[in-house]
Amino acid sequence: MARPVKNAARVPKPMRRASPAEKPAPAESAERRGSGWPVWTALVLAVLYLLAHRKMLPAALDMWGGLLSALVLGR
Amino acid sequence: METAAGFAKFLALNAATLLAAFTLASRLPFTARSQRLLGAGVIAVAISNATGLLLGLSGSLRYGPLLASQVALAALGCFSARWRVMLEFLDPRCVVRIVETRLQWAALGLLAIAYAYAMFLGFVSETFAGDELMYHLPLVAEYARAGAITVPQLGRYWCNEFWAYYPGAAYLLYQWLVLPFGTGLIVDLAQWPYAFGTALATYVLARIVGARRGDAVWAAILLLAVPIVMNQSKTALVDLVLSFLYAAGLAFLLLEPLTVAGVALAAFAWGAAPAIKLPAMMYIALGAVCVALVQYDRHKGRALRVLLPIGAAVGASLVLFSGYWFLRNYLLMGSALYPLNLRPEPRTAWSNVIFYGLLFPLLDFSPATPEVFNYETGAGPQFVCLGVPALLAYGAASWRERRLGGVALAVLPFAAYVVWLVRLSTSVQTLLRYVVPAMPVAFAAFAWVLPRVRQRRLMLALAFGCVVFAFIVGVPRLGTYTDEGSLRYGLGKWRRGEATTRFDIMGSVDLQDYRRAWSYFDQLPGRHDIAATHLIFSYPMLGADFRHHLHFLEETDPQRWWTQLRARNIDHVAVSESVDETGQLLIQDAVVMQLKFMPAGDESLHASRHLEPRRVQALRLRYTSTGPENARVVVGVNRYASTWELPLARGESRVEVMPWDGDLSSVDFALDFIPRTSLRAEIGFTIESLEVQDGNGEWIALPNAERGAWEVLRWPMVFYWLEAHPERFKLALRDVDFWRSRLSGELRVYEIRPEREDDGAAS
Repeated sequence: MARPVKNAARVPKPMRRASPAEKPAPAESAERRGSGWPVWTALVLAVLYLLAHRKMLPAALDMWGGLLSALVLGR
Repeated sequence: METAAGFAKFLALNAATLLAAFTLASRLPFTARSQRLLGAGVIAVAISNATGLLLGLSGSLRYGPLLASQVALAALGCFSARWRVMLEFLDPRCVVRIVETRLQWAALGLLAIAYAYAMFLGFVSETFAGDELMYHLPLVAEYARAGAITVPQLGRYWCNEFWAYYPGAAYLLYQWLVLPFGTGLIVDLAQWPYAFGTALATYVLARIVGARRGDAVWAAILLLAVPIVMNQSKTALVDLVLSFLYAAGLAFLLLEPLTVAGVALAAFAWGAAPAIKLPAMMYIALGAVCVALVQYDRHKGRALRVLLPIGAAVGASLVLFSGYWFLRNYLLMGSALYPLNLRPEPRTAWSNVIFYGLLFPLLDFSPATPEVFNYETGAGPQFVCLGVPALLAYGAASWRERRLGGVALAVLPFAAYVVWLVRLSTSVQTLLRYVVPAMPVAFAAFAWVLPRVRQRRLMLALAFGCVVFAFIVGVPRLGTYTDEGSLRYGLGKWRRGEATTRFDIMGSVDLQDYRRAWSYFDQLPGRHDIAATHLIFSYPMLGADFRHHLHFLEETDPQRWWTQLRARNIDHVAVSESVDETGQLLIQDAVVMQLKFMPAGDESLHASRHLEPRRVQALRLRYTSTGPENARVVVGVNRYASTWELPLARGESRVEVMPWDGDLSSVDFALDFIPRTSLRAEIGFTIESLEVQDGNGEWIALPNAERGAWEVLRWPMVFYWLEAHPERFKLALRDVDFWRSRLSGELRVYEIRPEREDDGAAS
């Protein structure tokens, strides 16, 4: 007679081999989980880029002002 | 009226070519509309290239024969057209359908503004880009004028004469914009369609590597937002044509399944690419490795059976479409690849790597041209921020999946980058311009990576941010080189109806002396023979309709020079006065561009030929004033005359331009500011302030009203002082901040001792 199991919940379920059809394809798996590092790398590079060009935006906005003034007002 | 007729002829010619291309494309066996449309683009270029080459070699490159050939091809195409298919892939609603999100619409809206502005500038403003004025457009003009492919005399630029030997396939394509008008009226829009063609190729590439349709739209958007691409769309350079052909060829060779039509289109695209720009050969070699490995992944041991026909097709196309240019240069110059220099440049290569680091230029920052994005600098943030991580991700995924082709594809843009970092020794700021043909691969990888990242929304926000940044910093530079204020000033004149000459609305490198000379020759009635020496920007000297002939005389003996003038019936001369026989100062020549023009026979011209180089860089800043509020400023022959005039004209000062009269008797000193070029790297300086003392002893600060008007100078800057002393000149300079600790300028003072007539010297 088999001994009763004290805590059935702790008993590991028998391992079942997943059939090849059930295995997610590597790409699908990556899609589902998604990678984080390309985004963070992109963000870090964006910060570095902005630092290298930190004076560019104000200068460009100045240029826009001048350009619109020339095209609209002729000045 | 002439312009209206020109436009009618332009529409007829281009409609015929496009009709022929579209009808032929309707027979292509592709399922996707985008592939068919890309095929149509490649066919259009193939038709134009083949017709241009045939007519150019037979000496019949004129509007009539060109139109007849295109109408005949269009008629042939109509017989075989599948009209329903054609209308389907040309339906603009297809484009509307693939745009998925408001963010994409917003980005496309910004790009629509940018490219509409580029087109507007193409119609109202003059050609401006240094390279196109130097040799691209002179070749276009020469082909149009001669009705044939020729090797014109272009003079020595940057110590070299090889410019005339560059393959001219692109210049044949540009005849579609030139021959209908008989002028270069809209020639600066020659590359405009190729920006969109490259974007389409980017979209197709993205789909091929496995991107979703909506994500592939992002790839195309990012490509169109590259500031270099935006800026080049208003130039007659050749980088976008090359990018289009290269990316299209790569796309058709990576298609699965591979079709005969696809291979044929790719074969043309890659076969014609070296005739557009010689560096295409490097790209084709890199692309060939990718294609070979992709086919190996697909077919393993049977890959050779696929690759051999591809190689044969590309090889045959190379012979057909590029062979002529190589053969010509071999026969004329003894080298098929002339003027390509395949020798490594170890010293300068190392200096680039040491000075800039291997990856620093990826950040798109050049101390030589800080804060300047133009047609050769400024790839925008998207390549480094989005393209580079995406390529790494795509390469890593390919590696995990044992797809060598994918790995090679991911490596391609990096390989191109490294090659150009090593090769471009003296102008690293233009490095990313040469990487543009590989950028479609990077953006395709970005489209591929989008569904595979966790924070997709963040990535899309970043992509949109890149587009906005590129739009804000790139668009105001459109149609200009380093000085956007010059074009803005011209546009203001145009708006007020005060622009009287073509050259009033022109960006940047149009120094005032050049403008005066161009206007002079442009308005000079009749056809003239002009003797020129070392003119860096000769194209506009030909006149709008290319009627004048330039003769570049290299005589150093005055008597023989005069004899040559008379023998060739030359009635005008244009002289750049900063001539240096050793070639050392020709870089300055390019910048200084001292130019005078006068009827031949003027004895002062005779004199000017014999001034020593250091003495004849006669930048004359003659300054007299009655006070800062209403100053009378006389700017003489000034190297940066146009940029000087801008801030002066904007203030209360009145500007008068005085021609250089060749008299150096009053010259006391010259100030020559030479940036230290350590490690041969280029460096930039910013003029912080500039003050000039007027005749009454008053100091007047020249306002730096225009950012970039005179603050970014790449080359040695020379100010010559006439009838004055250096102490009347206050010039404060600062390095570009980043390099402050490493670089500094040094100020040299040269004494000028003009030789007088009574000393026995010519001057």
